[in-house]
Amino acid sequence: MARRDLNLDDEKRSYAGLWLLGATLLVLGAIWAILDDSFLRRPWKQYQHGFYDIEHEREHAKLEAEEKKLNDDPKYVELRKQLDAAKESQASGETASKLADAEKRIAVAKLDEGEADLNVRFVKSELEAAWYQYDHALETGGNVSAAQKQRDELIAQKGEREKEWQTTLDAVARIQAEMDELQAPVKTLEKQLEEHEAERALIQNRLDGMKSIVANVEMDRIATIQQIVLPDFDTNNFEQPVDRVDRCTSCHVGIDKSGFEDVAQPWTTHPKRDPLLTKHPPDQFGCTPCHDGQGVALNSIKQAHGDVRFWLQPLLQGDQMQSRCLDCHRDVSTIGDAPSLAKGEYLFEQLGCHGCHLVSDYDGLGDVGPSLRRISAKVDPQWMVGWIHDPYAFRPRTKMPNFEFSDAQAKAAAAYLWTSSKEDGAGWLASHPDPGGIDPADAAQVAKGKELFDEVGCRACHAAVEGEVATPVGANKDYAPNLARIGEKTTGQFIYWWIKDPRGYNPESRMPSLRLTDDEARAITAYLLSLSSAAPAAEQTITSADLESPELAKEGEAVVRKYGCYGCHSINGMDAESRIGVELSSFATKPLEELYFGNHPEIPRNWNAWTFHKLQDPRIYATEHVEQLMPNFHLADEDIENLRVWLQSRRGYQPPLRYRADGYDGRQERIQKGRRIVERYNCMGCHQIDGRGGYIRTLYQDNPTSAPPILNGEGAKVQPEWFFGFLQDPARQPLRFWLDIRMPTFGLEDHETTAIVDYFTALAELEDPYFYWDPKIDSNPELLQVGEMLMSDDYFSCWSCHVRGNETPGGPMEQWAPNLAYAHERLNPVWILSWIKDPQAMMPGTKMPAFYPGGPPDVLGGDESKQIVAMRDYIMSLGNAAGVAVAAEALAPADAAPVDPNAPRPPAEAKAPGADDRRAAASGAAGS
Amino acid sequence: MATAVKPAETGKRVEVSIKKAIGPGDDKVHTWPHLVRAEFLCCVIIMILMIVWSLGVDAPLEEPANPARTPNPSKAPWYFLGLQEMLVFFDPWHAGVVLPSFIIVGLMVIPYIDINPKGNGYYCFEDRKWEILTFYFGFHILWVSLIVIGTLLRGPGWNWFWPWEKWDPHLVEALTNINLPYLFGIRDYFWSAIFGLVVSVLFVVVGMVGMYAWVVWLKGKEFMERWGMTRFLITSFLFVNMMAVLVKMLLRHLLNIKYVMETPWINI
Repeated sequence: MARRDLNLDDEKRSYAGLWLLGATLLVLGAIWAILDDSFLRRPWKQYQHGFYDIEHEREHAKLEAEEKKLNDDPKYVELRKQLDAAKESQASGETASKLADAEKRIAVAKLDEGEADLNVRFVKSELEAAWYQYDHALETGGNVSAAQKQRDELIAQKGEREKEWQTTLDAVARIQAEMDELQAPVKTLEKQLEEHEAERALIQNRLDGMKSIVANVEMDRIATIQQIVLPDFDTNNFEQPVDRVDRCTSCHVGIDKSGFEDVAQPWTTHPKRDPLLTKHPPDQFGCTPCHDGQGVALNSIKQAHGDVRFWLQPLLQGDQMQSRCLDCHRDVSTIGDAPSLAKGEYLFEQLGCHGCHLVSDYDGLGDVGPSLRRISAKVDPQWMVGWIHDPYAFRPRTKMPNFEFSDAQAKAAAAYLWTSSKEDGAGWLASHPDPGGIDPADAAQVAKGKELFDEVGCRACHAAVEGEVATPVGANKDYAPNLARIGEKTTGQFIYWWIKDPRGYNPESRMPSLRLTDDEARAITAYLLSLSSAAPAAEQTITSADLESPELAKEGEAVVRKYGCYGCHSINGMDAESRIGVELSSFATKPLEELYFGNHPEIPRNWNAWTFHKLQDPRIYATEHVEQLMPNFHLADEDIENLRVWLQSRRGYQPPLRYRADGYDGRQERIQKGRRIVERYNCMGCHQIDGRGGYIRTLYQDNPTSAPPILNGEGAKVQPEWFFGFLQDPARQPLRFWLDIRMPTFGLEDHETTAIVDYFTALAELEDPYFYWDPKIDSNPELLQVGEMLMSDDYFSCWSCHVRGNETPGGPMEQWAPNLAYAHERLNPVWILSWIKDPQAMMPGTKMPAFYPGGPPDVLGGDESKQIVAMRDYIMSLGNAAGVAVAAEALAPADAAPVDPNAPRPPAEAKAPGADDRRAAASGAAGS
Repeated sequence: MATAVKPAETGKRVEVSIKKAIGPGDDKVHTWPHLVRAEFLCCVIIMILMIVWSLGVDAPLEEPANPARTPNPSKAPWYFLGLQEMLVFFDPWHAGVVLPSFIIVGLMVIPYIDINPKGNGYYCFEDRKWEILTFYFGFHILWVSLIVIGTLLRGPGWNWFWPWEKWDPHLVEALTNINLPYLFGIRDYFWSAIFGLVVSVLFVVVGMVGMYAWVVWLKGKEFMERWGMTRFLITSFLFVNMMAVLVKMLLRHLLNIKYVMETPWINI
């Protein structure tokens, strides 16, 4: 049998070379691991040390500066010299020997004191034991009298020993007093020096804090991961709350420290530390809630900033940071640091994006376009086809987008709109016949119309000259149509009835009634028609008969349905349709693969670029076989960027309520709701509210007192009940009847009016806007008399400007100020106090004079606040049905209305001949 | 303990394996140090590789899992990707239940259908050519290559991407697959099913009969008798089914055949 071959040489071969190589590689691997773990993947350590160096250097420089300052201070140097001298004298001669002697004596005395103290404690302890024995004897029936005897002896002994102890204590104190007296000069000087050196000690303290102490060894600060944990900030994809962890401050060490504004990143102070970080302390809010990025990552800048694949929220750049504000603040228009976001939101709401795109929290905003249910009564058929074909050709700043229809599509859509509105339109026309007497060629009527158009308030919303802007929406849109070419679009008959009663034509119209008389309406109509009378009449190629073809209408119905015209307009037969656009509630989280770029390789593959180009040219991603329907709004680049910031805010989720702003579901919600209505009806066209708007004021630069009042802080000023009534019917009380401009009647729904009132009280941050004022309870007759006296010509002459009931002021009309007979139901009594005290602070530039400080010393003992209260109480009693006799006698009752609400100016006309001067009148108007 | 060393002479193998148990001590070497030092060296090399790998390659984490937005492509763990790849060619019931059952049963019956006594305790291709080739085909060619395809070449939409191609989630592939009966002009649903059934059964029957003839031709009647009809039937059925997977893949790739047989219950 053959033995199997066994190559023993193989087995004897040395592997030493391989072993050496393996061992070397293992050691290298270990070194690499240590390097990797300590340095290569820990760039934050270098950054942190870098900051510590800067910080230490600066603190050290401060210390040196402080020391130099001290040494340059002659007072300090003198003190030091004195101290040295005092110390020297204390250490030599008689004082020194006295001190040495005292020290010896005090050491002996302290020993005695210690012994005496111990004796006291022993006897106390024995006494405790004796008490126990005594109680125990009582309990067990032992020898009570013996125990009692011992206890009493010990009590006596304790008294003695305590006396002895007190003697030793006194001895120590005596010697200490001696010593203090000897040391007094030095101690006093030391204390003075300490005061001088306080700042230096503070710096030194800080410097000492910039060291780490490990096992008693002092060393430079050791870099440690700085981390902010926000409990339950996020919700994961399985609906479980998870913490957010931000370690950004491991590198950005100086972000919340002042004094590092000039150093480079990552050490610089937050550029808006105040107010952003003071309002959002990083330890409570972290960093990524506003900035995004990968807060936990520290390995590299790219990773930390989330600029890596699979991290879905990379660091937000530039204005895009603002997008996160909406996560926690419901109304961004009131926070100053998010202008781009606020503008984007305004654009979204005003351009009617919500008509086609559902966005949670932005539904129910109402149509932005006019109702087309009676459109056949309103427009010229040829004009309508042209308008649908290209709205910008007729009106470059219109909000209506260009659908890029073919001629045939435009005509078909027009045909559907025409036929579907024919019946309603004809009915409306029949009940609103041509009023007659409108003549655009009549120069006088046109001039009168123009005057009215300029005066009554039309121009808050409408411009009537091409190129002029009333209320802008974004960079290149108008809130309401420019009326320069209105005559080419519609008829005098329509305009007349429309401006008299917009809601008579369209019950949902945003256009208010300015309570025009028939003649006023005629004049304005003539003026508007005259604007385009010079334009050459277009050749009539399309007539209403053309648009009444049923086949064409059927085709048009398909077009209207497909392109979703009903998103912005009410259209007969389209009430059941739903939005045609993509829902945008979580648009910001759309992954790249869901964004279709069409045939555009040149557009960078990212969300920002996709969105920008989509908004710039909504059909850019259409291809020969992929159709896109979104119309072109011809937005300006800045508007696109603002809209994009707002779109970036649409993530579809928010942090928990406790992280959101105060009043998110209370005050902020009221502001949001009210702001939408205020913006829908363009209150800001006339009024400045919360510092925004007041566009019409540009027309009143020469005489700002004739402009509509500024409503900053209005919520604190007026009573909610009065405000509600005023908004429902502004003509009820001719508050400033001398003004030409009219507060329109909007015909608001009750819930809209309530929302506006709530909006103003919420803006004013009023907790309790409601109150009840009864002069009999809230005031007294003496005070009312004082108030009346103060307001009379003897003192402040209030009635030289303010109207009182039907008593107009003696002064010139341009000095007139609001009727104070309405104050008791209109003004907030708390507001009146601060107003009288300092009107300029409440409303800079008001004509209302400031009387305080400097009230008459002879009234109410010169107590100014009491004087103000007296006037306030008097004002509150004026015209008040419940007012006391003094008020009732002085005034006509308020309900004897001095003017006819429908004709706001008769008293003014009756009394003041200089109509042109009247503009200057109501600066107090602005004031009260 | 002793390491098995390669026999010098192939002819004596059966004998050697029997002798081994009582063989002389001088054809053995000690575990320590001869085996252990080699194992330790391997250990060191593996350690070095692992260190380099773990320092150089970070964990391939992706975004947090989101049940509302599953990844595209959604892939099984790598060791199941062969199965997932088979879903391209078969009905899920067939690819996911029938075929894996055949694989498991087939692996289990190997000891019972294999009557070749050679190759126990040593490696030799010559003595087990048929067994080894079959296993190679089934495991390496079919199973492993399907895993490789599923892992590396399947991208979004389970579309085929070569390694140099970018994974484009919007890639559109023309969907023009038809069933085999359709190719033969049969449009009727019932007769399509019958036709498919006949073809499938015929394939198995013809395959098994062919295999019988082949084995007899190759090894002689005597071998077949020794092997036994039961063993042959089991072996040939499994073998034909394995080949059927390949045939179906070829049909799909070459002729765009979706199914051979389509019924409301199972498609093949």
